[in-house]
Amino acid sequence: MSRFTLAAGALCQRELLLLWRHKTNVLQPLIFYLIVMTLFPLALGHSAKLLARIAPGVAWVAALLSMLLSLENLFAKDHQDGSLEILLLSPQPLPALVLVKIFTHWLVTGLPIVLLTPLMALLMGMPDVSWHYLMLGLLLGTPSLSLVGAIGSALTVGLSSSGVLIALLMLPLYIPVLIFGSGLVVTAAAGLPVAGILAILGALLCLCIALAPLACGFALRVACQ
Amino acid sequence: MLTVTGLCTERDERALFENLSFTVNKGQLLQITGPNGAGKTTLLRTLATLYQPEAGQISFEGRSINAGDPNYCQSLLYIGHQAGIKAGLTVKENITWLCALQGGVPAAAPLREGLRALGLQDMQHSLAGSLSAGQKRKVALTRLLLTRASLWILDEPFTALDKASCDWLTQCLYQHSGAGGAVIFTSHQALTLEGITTLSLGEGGHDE
Amino acid sequence: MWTFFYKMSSGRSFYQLSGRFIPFFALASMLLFAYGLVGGLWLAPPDFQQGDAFRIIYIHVPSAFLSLMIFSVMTFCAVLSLVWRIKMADLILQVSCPLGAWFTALALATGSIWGKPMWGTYWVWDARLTSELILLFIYFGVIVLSHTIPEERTAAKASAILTLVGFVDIPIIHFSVNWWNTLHQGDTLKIFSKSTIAPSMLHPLLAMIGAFAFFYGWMCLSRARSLCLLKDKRARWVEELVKSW
Repeated sequence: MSRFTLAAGALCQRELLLLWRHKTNVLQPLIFYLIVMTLFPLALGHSAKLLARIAPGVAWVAALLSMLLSLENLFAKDHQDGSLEILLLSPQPLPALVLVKIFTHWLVTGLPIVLLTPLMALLMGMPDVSWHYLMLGLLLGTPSLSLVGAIGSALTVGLSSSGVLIALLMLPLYIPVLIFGSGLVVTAAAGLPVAGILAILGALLCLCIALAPLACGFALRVACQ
Repeated sequence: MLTVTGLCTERDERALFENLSFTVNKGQLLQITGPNGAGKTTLLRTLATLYQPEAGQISFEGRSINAGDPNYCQSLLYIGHQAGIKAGLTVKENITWLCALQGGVPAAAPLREGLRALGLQDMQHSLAGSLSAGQKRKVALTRLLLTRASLWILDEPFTALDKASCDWLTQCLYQHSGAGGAVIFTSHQALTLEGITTLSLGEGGHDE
Repeated sequence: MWTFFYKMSSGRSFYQLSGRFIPFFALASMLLFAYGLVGGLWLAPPDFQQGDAFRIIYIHVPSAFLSLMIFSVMTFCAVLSLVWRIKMADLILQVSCPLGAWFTALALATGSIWGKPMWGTYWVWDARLTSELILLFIYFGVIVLSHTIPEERTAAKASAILTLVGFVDIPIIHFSVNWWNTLHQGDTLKIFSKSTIAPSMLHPLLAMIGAFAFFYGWMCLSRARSLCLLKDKRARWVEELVKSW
């Protein structure tokens, strides 16, 4: 086993262990997601037709907000106890380690949101084809959200209350994923071809995987000065 | 081993040190002294490439280094004020993780020995969050036994340690320098150690 | 070229050099403003469809142009600051950001004032308007970030990184907003196409764009100069400068 896989595996294991020991922290964004979804029928009325129409957009906005909520702690705790410095001084490439960290973060925040889609579809009365594509879109889109959001988290790492600030910095940058993610469902529901949109979402994800860890690593080095 | 030339660093528009040059050789124990605010921690962080100096060059074994240089990171062990001990992990998990990040698995024998020497052998499986400040420090210092790094940079390693552990640490430092390693550290304790070079930073902290 | 940038990394030479540029920028901006305003507001004939309402383009188009140009300048500064650690680039970035935000806000405001007679409403979710609004949000993000981080150097580097990330994202945002707009059946009127604009209308417009650009250069340099003095307030050259007054 190479040194990098050893380090990456240990980091992944450590992250999951810590998340497992603080389960409530992990659950908070998910519960938030469910509550936000519940608010819309209460605010807009429960006409089945309206709900089915707005559901994909609402699900995307709620997913976006709940992922932002969980990003505040991505690097902040490591910064407080000094383990971020140790991460920076590791002989392994920093962007790769950051990527591992973001991936574990997505596993516990993004993936559950993707998996909750059928439940959402049930609550909002979405037609089958819509929620299938919603789920696919979320699966391709939420990792991009984690990756881009991690940059905001890294930039604000030394600041005491960074939650709103991260949202302010990162929400404008989330717009492409939001547009194509919800556009995918609208297009699919209209019976139009969706391969192009899926390709764009995939391309956005590739771009994020390539660039976001670099930017994050750079931002972390700056923030730790 | 480590050569510093013309290092300048400022904090809040105030020069902490200007044109600082020194060399650390194999087997040398270098203590950085100076009043509070003289820039001891900043100097150590600069040497560890965590802080970017305004000017100057740091070279390790003849090669100039930048932040994140993998060779340098492999040969460096840095323990800062915040030792990087995760409250949510047990003592053993913490040590294992810290070793893995450096690219190694902790060898069982030295680990057991070190934990015993520091009086931590019964706490291997307790959460680090429940330990006292001194005990957490000791967990971090266990890394000294498990690393193959040749250059140690330790920020206030003696803080919060009891007498026995201080002795253990002193012995550890000597052993490392005897084996050809180098140590750069800061300490407020008046140490009566032999063979230590000191570098004292200016009285900058009392100017204002 | 390189010696120029190297010189720019010292506060003193930046202060001296920018002092020489400022009068030139101010004069150029004033002359172009005079020509552009007279040419645009009096000499140019009214548009045969829009009447005199079209004259707002002499403010609207330059501000929209500047909103993008300033972000490009900021990106250039961000690269200079992150790669070559040129300190003055940080200053330029820092002072450009609020200026850029103001020009973006001006473009949005004039756009919606123009929209009222043309489209019958102050705001439509047109692709350009939406992109411009998002650009304003990105400007806000950089401003807020640079003011929230207490340590000056960290703040400058962090805003440089955010600027670069924003620069990569802006074309993607623009593309996606365009796509979104066609998906939702654009209900907007097309603004008259640029190629058919008469020279008597076009020349003042170009002059106004130039005037705005020089005005930005003027404001940016003067603000950077005062920041530079503040930053180096303990340096010998600032002391000498103050004494010589």
